[in-house]
Amino acid sequence: MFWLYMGTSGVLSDLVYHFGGLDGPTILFLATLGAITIFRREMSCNHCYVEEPSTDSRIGERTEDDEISSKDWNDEETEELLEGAGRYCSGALLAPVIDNLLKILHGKGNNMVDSLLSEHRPQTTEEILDAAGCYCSGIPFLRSLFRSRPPRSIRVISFSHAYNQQGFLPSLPLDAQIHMLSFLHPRDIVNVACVNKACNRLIDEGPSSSLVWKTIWNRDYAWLVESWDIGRLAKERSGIEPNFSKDFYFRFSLASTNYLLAGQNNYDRCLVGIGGHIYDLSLFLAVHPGSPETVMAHAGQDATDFFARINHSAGARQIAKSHCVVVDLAFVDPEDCGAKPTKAISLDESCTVITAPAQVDPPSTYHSNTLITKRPTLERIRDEFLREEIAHKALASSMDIPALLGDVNVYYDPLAMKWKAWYTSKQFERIFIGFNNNVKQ
Amino acid sequence: MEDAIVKLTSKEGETFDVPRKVAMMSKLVKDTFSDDDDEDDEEDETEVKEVPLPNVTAPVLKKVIEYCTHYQDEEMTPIQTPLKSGTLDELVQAWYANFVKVDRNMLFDLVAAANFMDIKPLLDLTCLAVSILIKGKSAQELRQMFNISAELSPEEQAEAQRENAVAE
Repeated sequence: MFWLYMGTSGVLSDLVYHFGGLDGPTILFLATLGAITIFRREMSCNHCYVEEPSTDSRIGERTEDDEISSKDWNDEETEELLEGAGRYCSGALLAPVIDNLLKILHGKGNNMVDSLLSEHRPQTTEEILDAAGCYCSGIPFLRSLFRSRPPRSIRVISFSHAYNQQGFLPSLPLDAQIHMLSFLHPRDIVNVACVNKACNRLIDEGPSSSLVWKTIWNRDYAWLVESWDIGRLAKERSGIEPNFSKDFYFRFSLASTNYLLAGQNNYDRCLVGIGGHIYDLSLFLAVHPGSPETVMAHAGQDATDFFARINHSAGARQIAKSHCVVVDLAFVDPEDCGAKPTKAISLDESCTVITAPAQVDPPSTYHSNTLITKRPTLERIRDEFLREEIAHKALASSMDIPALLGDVNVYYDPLAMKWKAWYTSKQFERIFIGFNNNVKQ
Repeated sequence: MEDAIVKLTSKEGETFDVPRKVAMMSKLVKDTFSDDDDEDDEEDETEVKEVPLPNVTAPVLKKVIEYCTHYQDEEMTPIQTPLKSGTLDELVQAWYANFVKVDRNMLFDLVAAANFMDIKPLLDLTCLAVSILIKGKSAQELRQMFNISAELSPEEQAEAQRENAVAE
């Protein structure tokens, strides 16, 4: 009875709040609500349990069948029972009554009652999966699944059943399967996708696949654009949240250096990518043996080839090491993947909603191997990416841009899923441009 | 309050007496309690509470309690991802590595139970153990290991392999 009362009064106070401004209808309305409150017992779904005296006498007459069925968990019955419990708490039982009242009063009550009721349980698979996504990112899964709190623990069962028959190990809940994948290298994950249809669906298609790759991306790269100031600038330029998929993950890993560093080639902020890692040379510019302009001409992008061509000495590499801010783990250990900050980087901890990165030491050896092959990627995605890059570079060099310093630098924006470019004007401004038509390969 | 006992009831109806602190590792148990506290704050707090766990069998529940009890003495090392080492012993303490050296069905039941009871470190450990089984195996090896039929035609298999071919 306590719950019914709470549920009812909750709904009532909401309604009163919404219609408090009205005069004539409000009085009528409040009167009706008063009547509901007084006669709530008669309207309640379980008044028979409270008031029928025969309930007690029936206990003695319980047959053996009753005993068994109460022990044996029948899903449908449980579901029904819980459904009842849900309504019992949420006040949904009164919904039709209130709904009708509102229709009479305003002829438009539906929306509000609907929105009141819809708050209580996630309905579609997608919502459930989304809740599972929250779990992966560290927010307790069950809490978010029941935005209103579960009346009793047993209510969880019906949801665990909803997961069954999906994915890699059908006997296990989907979110646990995604949790398993979250320990693995992307190489192993794409391998699992080849096992059978269910695995393929889990990893390559549909809402579950975006969850899988969201989890992996959060683990490996998300901090770059969420809590690193340089990366946040890049994300602001994209102006869009990522759309998670397998292609997004691998394209991000291929595009990250040029995407993150675009435009970072001035005296205050001079960043450069060498051999997969990112170096912040802002403080080093003034003492660089070559002119600062040489460095700046190649900053704001991956400069591995240029760095190698100049034939930097061991000492120079040692100095570079001390300016390293982001380490690409794949270039340190092929068993590893993802990017990590060094102690030299400053992170805005306040917005680290995703996996907080453990800081690592800068790598001691510099790998001169071509960038792209070291990062975990798929043949198809890498080939597409490289072909597109060549096409857009050709497009950029054919553009007629006056007052230009150096080259037009092409980069892929993985969030917006578009190729873009930027250049330095004669006034030392960074100009960002898009391509009218992305070249499709 | 400290030595209060919680009764956890398995699917079969078998009841286990567990110290409150140990049982509280499960967020499910914890949430059940905080719900109760809100409802009847005036009620006698020392009363022994019972939590039904209708989809955890007795042998699995026993293992879960064993884990939670040991966790009070020695916290498990948080697990680094992605896995660099292929052996459990290098990732967690010996006791935890031995804890998941069980047959596969038991391991899966433990994953399901940890997920259901919402015990984060146990879920991490059991999922880690399954991940280690998966790590570095080919699709064919995985099929044999988990006894899964391919249900894909040879063409579909070739297509999936092509799509997911890792660039070297």
